[in-house]
Amino acid sequence: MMETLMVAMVFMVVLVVALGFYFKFSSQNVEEAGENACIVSNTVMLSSIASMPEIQCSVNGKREQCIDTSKLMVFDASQEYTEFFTSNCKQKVYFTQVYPEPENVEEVCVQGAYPDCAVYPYFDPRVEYISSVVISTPVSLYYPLTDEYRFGRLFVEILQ
Amino acid sequence: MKNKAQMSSSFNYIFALVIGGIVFMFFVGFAYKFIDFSGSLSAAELVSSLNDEFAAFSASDSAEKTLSFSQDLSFRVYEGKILSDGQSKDIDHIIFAPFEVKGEDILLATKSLEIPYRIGNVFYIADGKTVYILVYDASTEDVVQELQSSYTSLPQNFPVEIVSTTQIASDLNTLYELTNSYEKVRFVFFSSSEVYAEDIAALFSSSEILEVHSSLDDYSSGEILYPNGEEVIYLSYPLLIGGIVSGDASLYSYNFQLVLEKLGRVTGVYYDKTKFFATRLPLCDYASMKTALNNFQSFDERSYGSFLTKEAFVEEANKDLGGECPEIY
Repeated sequence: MMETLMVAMVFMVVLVVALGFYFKFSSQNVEEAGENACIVSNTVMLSSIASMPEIQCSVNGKREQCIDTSKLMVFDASQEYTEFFTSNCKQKVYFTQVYPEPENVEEVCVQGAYPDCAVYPYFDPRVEYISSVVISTPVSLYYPLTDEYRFGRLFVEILQ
Repeated sequence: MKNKAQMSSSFNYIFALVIGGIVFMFFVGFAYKFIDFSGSLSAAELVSSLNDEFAAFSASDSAEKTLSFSQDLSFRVYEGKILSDGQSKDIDHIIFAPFEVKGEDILLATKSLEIPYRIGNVFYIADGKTVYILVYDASTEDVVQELQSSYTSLPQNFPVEIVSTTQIASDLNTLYELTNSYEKVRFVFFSSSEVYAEDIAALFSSSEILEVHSSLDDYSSGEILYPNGEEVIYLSYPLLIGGIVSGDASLYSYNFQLVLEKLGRVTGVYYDKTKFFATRLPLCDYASMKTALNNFQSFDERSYGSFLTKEAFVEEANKDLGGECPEIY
């Protein structure tokens, strides 16, 4: 009888250890799939952010392929788009002016400093993070008060 | 001694049964958990792939696509959620869809919504199992033809037929044969359907009738009457198409409210932009634009007439700007 009990015990121990390994690898795979899905989604999101009506340029109601910087001054996506930006993973979104090169490349744009500034924050979840993956795309920044276009970049910083 | 050996043997059998039962139950439980987990993962993958398609689509003014999957899918789009296999995932888009979408091929389409400025994209989902028959009379022929093949038309990958009320009256059998392969037929009358409803119900076993009414010649805004007698308003062709595709009035109305929320948000941006311009350009008169945008945020949601009046004020105020005083949109 003792032998049977021992065999059953050993069998159970082996089973539990095997299942433990299985779940560990499964969860690792799911986490990796989640991270990959996050990067793919954010890459797709680069194009959709630039076409958001709240910030995209328009002429007589028709969209133009540029970002209206005056809209960036008055629209706070952090209040309106929390679910949109954080549904898959957390990210920070901002625009920077690249050319002509601003005097202070780190100057954050607020209504008082506009348009002589460099960084337009768009969405910031205000969370702590250890590292980040940055993806970006070039955009045309439009300044309606002076009817000027400048060269810029849209950055999505995926927080990890 | 023999008795003891017999007892030990019986005990072994009972012991093996108990242990075997426990292990069996454990595996059954594990299998159920795994099925649940797989379902959840499939639903997440489906939503994720649809979300990515929508995000990519939103950069376009008008686009269509057929998504082919390796297996039959079945899901519902209900109040901002995609429900599939008992799993539910939030989706942050305005999506018009029938009650249930099922099949290997999912038809997607999008259109940009401009009322009067762009407020975003609306999306349509179908599975190709319902055919939409647009019915016109002499006064609505042009409108229906535009809805079949023009920039404002229903998505080209959706099954659509157009017929006249004369054809409905004289040759319903041909239409029946033409649409026989579809599970459901949805008639959309751009005139009164009263005279034809009985004949249609008698011949088409799975059909329903919608009516579109408008006081405008081009039907760009108006009302849609659903089979249950509920009436909703639409404010442009993309919303009319949304009404035609939606399963019923309540599914449409949920998305219509999202459209109004989006309109309010974008109007708020333009209002703040107007105030910003007024501060920066004190020589320009932005007062009428501010008033028009402020009024536009509060039109009567049950009347498309109220919307059109306020929309016209906004358009007029924007047209009056230009040159040294930049337009707002």
